[in-house]
Amino acid sequence: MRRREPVEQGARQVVTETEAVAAGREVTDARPAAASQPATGRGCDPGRRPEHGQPPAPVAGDDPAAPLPVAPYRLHVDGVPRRVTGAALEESLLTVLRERLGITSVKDACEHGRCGSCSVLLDGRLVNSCTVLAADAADARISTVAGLPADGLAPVLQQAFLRHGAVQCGFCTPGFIVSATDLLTRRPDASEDELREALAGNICRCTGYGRIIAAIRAVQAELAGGGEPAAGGEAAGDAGTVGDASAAGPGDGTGEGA
Amino acid sequence: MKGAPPVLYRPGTVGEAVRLLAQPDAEPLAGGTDLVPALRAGAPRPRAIVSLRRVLELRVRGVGADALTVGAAVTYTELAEWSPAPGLAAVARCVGSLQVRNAGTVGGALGSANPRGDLLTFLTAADAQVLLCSARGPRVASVAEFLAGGRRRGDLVTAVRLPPARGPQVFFKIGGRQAAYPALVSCAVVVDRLTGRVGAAVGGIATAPLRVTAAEEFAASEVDWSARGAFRGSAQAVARRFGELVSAAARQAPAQLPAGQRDPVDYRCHAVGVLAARALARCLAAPAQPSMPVGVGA
Ligand SMILES: Cc1cc2nc3c(=O)[nH]c(=O)nc-3n(C[C@@H](O)[C@@H](O)[C@H](O)COP(=O)(O)OP(=O)(O)OC[C@H]3O[C@@H](n4cnc5c(N)ncnc54)[C@H](O)[C@@H]3O)c2cc1C
Ligand code: FES
Ligand code: FES
Repeated sequence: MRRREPVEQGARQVVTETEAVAAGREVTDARPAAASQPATGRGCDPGRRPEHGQPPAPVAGDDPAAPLPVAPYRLHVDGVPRRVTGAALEESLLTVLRERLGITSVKDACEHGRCGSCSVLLDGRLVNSCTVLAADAADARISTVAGLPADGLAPVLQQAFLRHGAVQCGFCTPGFIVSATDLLTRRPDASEDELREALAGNICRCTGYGRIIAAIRAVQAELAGGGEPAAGGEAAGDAGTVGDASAAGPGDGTGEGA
Repeated sequence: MKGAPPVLYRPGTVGEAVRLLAQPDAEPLAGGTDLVPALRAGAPRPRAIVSLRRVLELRVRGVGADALTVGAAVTYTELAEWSPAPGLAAVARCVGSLQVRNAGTVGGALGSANPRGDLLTFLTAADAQVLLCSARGPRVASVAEFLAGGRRRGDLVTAVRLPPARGPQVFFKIGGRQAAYPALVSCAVVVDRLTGRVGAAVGGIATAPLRVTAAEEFAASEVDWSARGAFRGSAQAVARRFGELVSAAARQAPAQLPAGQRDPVDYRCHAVGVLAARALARCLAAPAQPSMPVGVGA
């Protein structure tokens, strides 16, 4: 299992300076445009329930109680440094990824750490991005499903999910792919019990999990050398057709609310 | 909510963190599993957030002759793999989901002081101490003192300290979907074969974990723990009586949590008795090895 560096070793990275992400003082009445936009385009998520009131980000207006944006900061998402401007301090990594950076493959459903649809890797550890303060992730490596290595397990898992009918509405799929990739990277030969336990934080409302487990078991069998062939050969036509649909899900998040 | 916008600080040492926390309305941030969703849901926004992510001192785990020390920023995942503390590891394994265990920390569990927090029930039974630091200096409190006093302004939990495992340690809980919701009730039993002491606590009954002293004394007097848990009468009868005492203590507990829709007080008090009886039975069945990893989440 992955662990944090023990202190003895970690002490090498001497971190003495206090880094303050200071509040953007220059912004008083005229809020930057970025802060005024994000409230739109959220209703499209099938998993999003309307009762999650609270606008996610500061909405420009006259409300003096509206959160003020903090100074711009940088996030390292999928290997690319991204500048975040106009965000309020309390914004979660999920909010910032989706609404400030347009990365909609990270799904937003519960915002309470309960469903796993917003799963990402933070410095290689699987976490729910809705429980991470975005500004506090400024020096971390963030991987979404789109940033998982193209020559690694994720594409193989994606194909297996399609072949096994583990994708129905697809809302949970990006989170499952991130979680399953994390698990198989750490424990390629995990037992089915282990697998179910490791994926317990990811909720799927459609499949009943059986097909998801079957897809992952098939990938494990492939890795072990037996099992079914990866995408290609006979399965290719099949996977190709469904593959188009998948571009909106585990893809790069170009479609709105995809 | 008024005045200047909030500020995030990311100190590198405990000293700096404590200085920053001395300012009015400053809140520490560890794994964020409780705090970040709460902010999102509209909890009062602190004026300053002091992130502990870079404070490496808080990530230590230490094994001493008569105490184990666990830094406040140690995550459940890290605890779950920590062999010197099999009981604590077993508790950590049955918290939330992998995502929550990868982020959630010991210090956050104490800071949130959730009356249903799994770790708090266990730490209470294990007679753990909370190590704190503020601008006024360091201090030490028992878990009960810490929870009763509430976190004082400017306090940073730096670590918890607990005796090494010297006997069976069992933790049971019941509730809904573990990955998504905290348990309804939980029970921890910690046996020290060396001293013959039995520590027992239940969570989800009162506003803080409840030590069940009458049940502890019964289990200590009825069983000779040094001799492989030799007891008068049948193990089953001892465990059943233990459970009854725990139920009775739960019914009389001051500061009861309000009844929920799915957990009327009666049910909760009955349920902790059942958990306690099973937990003691498990302790009695444990082999005489000094540190048996028998903690289990139900
Ligand atoms: C979906 C879900 C499932 C969960 N399931 C369980 C479960 O099964 N069992 C269980 O016990 N818990 C459960 N939890 C709660 C779990 O998140 C907490 O137990 C966790 O330990 C909080 O740690 P954190 O580091 O994330 O705290 P944060 O959210 O960072 O902080 C929580 C509070 O503690 C304060 N704080 C943080 N660190 C310190 C410190 N060093 N000193 C003083 N104050 C501090 C913060 O200011 C804040 O008020 C669950 C949570 C979620 C979201
Ligand atoms: S949206 Fe983050 S866990 Fe549900
Ligand atoms: S939630 Fe629809 S496929 Fe999982």
